[in-house]
Amino acid sequence: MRMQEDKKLKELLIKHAMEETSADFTNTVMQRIQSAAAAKAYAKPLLKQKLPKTLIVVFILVCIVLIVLSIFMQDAQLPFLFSVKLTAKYFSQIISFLIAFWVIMLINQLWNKKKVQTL
Amino acid sequence: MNNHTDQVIIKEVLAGNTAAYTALVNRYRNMVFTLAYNIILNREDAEEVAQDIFVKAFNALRSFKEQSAFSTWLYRIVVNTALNKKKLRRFTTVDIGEQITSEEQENVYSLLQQHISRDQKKYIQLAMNALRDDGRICMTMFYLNELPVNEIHELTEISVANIKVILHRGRKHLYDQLHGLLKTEIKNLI
Repeated sequence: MRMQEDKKLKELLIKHAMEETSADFTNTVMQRIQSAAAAKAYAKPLLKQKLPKTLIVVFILVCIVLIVLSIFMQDAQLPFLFSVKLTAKYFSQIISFLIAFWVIMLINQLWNKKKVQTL
Repeated sequence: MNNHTDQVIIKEVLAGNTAAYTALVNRYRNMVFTLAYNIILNREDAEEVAQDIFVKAFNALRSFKEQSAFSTWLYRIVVNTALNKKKLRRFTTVDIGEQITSEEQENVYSLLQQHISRDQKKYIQLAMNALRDDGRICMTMFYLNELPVNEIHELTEISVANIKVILHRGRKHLYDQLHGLLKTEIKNLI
């Protein structure tokens, strides 16, 4: 009895409580999917995926080689004189540049993160 | 393509046939929209959310593991997206401790049939909208999305026992609402 009642109620609800989307619903969804797929296909990454990893590995290897060489090499005089005298003004300019660079970089990163979250 | 199973269509889509996804959209659009609408209670927002859900599902199709039915996976996206739209983290329910009395176990459908003779759609939609959130959503999932109670539990995190009581109450409230609406209608006609 209960099963029968449930079945009838289900039929009644399917008939009268099922909402219908607008007529162009499927087209709109497919257009959105296709335009997103097209945008993805054209937006090639500026750097290849493996390039940053390769650069990091090369950098670490070079560092290791230099450290190992520095252990085995004896003090040797360079065949040329390499000395640049910098005044305190240059150092303060370099430090100011580095501070400004990292502050802007940080703000940029935070801004981009916020933009992605709101999308 | 329209007669193929969900799994076959998904394989087609994953193989690169994006157009095959149309069949899935057509198959589930009304059910997704109905569930979203019953959570949000706004047609325009529900339609927008339903579109977002299908785009999200398409983008995440590779992560669908076929351990559950595609519909269950899709409805999970519906629940999360619609609740997010409604700015809710999860369903809010009131603990139902009271027993179902024998008086409540009346034949709801026969009463519905007896009371509704015309404008059925209008009355049923009004009555559904007047139900409490949890009742309306569980009724939609159970009767319209044809989800078993254990899957509704997974989607809503409401206990199985509570879902059964909510469904029972939903049926009764639906009848009460219809009864009230019809009485008002008759009074208006007089």
